[in-house]
Amino acid sequence: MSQQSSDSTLEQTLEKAHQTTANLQFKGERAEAVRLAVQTLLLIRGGLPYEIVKNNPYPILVKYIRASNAETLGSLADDVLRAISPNFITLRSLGSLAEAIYNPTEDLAQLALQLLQEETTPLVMLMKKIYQDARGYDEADENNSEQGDKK
Amino acid sequence: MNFNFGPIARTDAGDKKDTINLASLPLHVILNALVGSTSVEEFIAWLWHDLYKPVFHWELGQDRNGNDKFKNLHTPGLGAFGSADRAFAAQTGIREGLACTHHVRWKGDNGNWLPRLSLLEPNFISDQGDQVNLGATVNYVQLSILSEPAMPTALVRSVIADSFIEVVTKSVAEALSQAFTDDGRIPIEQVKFEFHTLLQHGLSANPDNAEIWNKLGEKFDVQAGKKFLMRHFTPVTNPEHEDVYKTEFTADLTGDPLLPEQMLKNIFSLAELLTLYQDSRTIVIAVPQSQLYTIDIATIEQATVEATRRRLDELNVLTINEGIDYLSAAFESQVEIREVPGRLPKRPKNFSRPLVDVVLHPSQLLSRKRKTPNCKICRITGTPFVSALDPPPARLDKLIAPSFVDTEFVGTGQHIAPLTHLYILNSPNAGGSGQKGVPKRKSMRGAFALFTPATQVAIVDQTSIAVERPPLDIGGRFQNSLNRITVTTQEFTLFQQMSRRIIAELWHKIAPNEPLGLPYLGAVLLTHEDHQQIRRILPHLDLFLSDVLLNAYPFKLAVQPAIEITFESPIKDTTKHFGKHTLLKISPHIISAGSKASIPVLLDDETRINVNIALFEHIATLTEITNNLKLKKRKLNQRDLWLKSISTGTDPVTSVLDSGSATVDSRRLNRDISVDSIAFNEAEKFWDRYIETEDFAKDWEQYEKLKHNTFSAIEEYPILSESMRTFQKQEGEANESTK
Repeated sequence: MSQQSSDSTLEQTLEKAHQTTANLQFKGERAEAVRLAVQTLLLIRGGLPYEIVKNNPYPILVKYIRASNAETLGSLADDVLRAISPNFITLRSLGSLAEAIYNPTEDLAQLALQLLQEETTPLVMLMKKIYQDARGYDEADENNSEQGDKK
Repeated sequence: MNFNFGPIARTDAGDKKDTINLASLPLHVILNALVGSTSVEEFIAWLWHDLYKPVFHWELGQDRNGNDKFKNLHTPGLGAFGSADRAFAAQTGIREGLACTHHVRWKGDNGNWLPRLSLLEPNFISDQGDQVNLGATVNYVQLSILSEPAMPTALVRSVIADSFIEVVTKSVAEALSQAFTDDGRIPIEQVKFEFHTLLQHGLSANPDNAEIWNKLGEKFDVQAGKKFLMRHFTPVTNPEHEDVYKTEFTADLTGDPLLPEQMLKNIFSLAELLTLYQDSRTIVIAVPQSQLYTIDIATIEQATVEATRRRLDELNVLTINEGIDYLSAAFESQVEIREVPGRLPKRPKNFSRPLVDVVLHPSQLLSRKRKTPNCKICRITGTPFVSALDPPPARLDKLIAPSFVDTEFVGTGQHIAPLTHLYILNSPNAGGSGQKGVPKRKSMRGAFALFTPATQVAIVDQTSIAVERPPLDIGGRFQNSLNRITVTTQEFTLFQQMSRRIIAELWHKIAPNEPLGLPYLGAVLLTHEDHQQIRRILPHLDLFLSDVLLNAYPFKLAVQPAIEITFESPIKDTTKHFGKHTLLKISPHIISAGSKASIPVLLDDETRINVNIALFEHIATLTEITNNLKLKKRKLNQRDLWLKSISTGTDPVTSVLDSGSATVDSRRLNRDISVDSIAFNEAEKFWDRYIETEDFAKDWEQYEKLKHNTFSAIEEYPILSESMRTFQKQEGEANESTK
């Protein structure tokens, strides 16, 4: 795990988190599906505006993912983002993530979707840890600036 | 559990057999004294006849044919210990020579033969390989219960057995005490053996007798009196063995029952020393020679009936109803007490008095009954019997219990054996019970626990390698492994001692200051009246699932003492259980204590589980997790909700979140904190505590492992979430399985 400086931009954080996720040595049959699920969560997390982020976004993520009946990974991401904030934030760093999520291998996407729907909390937890590691601090920590997330 | 009853007493050094007897020295000498003495003087001599065996002074000599033969130089009065016989004979008030001639005759200083014990060891104990023989000259009394070992008769059978041992033990204690008084001596109440170890013994590589005496022998002591004390010293070479092999052993000869706490301090009751064999059908007790004890079967039988009735009354078991004495009827047709035949004045050359013949005696009696023309077969226990007892009521509600619904016993009619009759008779409303002001009878219905030592010698015929070569083993007796464990009657007692102490340890955890329910039998007995205590046993069943080690210098051996268990504890519906449940759905089960054991436990009429070490491991893991789930809202608590959630297949982390959401008291929250946030924080704390590592991929691996283990536990034990609290130890109690 790395220690990112606290003044990284959201762009840099997402880039770093995405890179970390891509390089993780998951084991077992579900390894790639877990990776894709975490990537989906990073995409959703990256799309959240500061107003949401400043109030601990993770419980909200769990809530809306579990509430969604989406049948594809992409529609799940859409569902959640629309439910949380209609103002989708576009970032360059989301490009490859978005590609993986909106144009994935069918079976892998279904497995990732299933994982996200059935094991939402542990996956969000993992994503949070990866994201915060990339970011260098906990968003909920009042002592840290949230300015990097502001748009 | 680890046991240490003192160093080993005997190896079969006579020929090529490299065998080991596990019975400890104090057990060996006290049993010799109890069964082989023909006078008080001999009793005292037997107590210290092997005084110096703990020095383990072995030399390699030759037998008459010139073959190598190991010699155990241990005898007071000979060799290095030449001055001890005279000194301790004077100190204990017996004639010089009795101890030193226990193997070979010797002449005294005046050229005359020294006096000898009347019966020598080959007459009452011998090393036996594949067939355990009773001692040729030993007197035994045997109780036989002519019943199949079925559950409905378990309570009465065990009370009869306990009463029988109590009666015989007390009569032996009284006779011994009287013999000492008649001999002008203070009766011995306790024989205490101290076994010290000496690391700094200062022995040279090849010490002569003077050196052995000066550095070891003279430290030994024998002190006569109400408490007869013997002090032994064993030189050791490994510093780790200095504490491991230091111990005490106290034989209590008063005939009184012991508290578990005393038993766990290596105090041994006369009852357990005398009891040679016990199973669900028979008890075999050794008693002293006729010069010290007179066997009076009629008196023993009468006293056993009285003691049994007294104890059954205490347990609220009805024995007499409408003028019919059911207990006497049971004794008349299904209980036999006898003196074991075949005792001889001396052991002949081709001696054979197999223990198995005696053990099978009840089966032979049952077989004979079966051939009797008017024999009936008990419809509930399958026991053949002959009795003139009137048949029990034909109505099922009176026969078993008002709420009893099984119909397999319809038409039992006259085919109920007297011992079973006692079971039938004791329905909840029997003998006026259940009426206004009279509590229902709960002794023979509902929850039940019986833990009895079982004489089943479970030991692997293992190669036994000494933990070290004793410093005075000059001849190399323990240089090579001893390849067989030889079982004599004394090993039967040894194994029973361990079984008794495992049971005592269990009871000590439940009721530290109370004696065992059946102290002479060494058994825990609880009926539905004490269903809460029965339930408290459940978390401690892991005591039977831990490996047992016997430290007997110079050996350390894995052993598996046997315990007979009959156990039924409802985890729900305890109040009405005794009116519904009939004991007919459980059966006694003998286990060999150890990590591979499994104990069948009936938790209610529908659920039986096998309690094994895996269950306790699962419970330990889940307990550790759930102890940190502390949110509560009114009657809901997070711990219970988490267990329910995982049993529906929800992963453990989400279960924390969901159970947290449901138990956060939102009225007490600040405006800026949501229930969802609190619940998520709970889940995150859980993640950090049980899952987080230094690597994200490993975090996920750890999460999947936890999920797998949790689901496996629930799958293997579907009632785990419901029964977990039942199997959890109280606060402050250690979890043995996880130590």
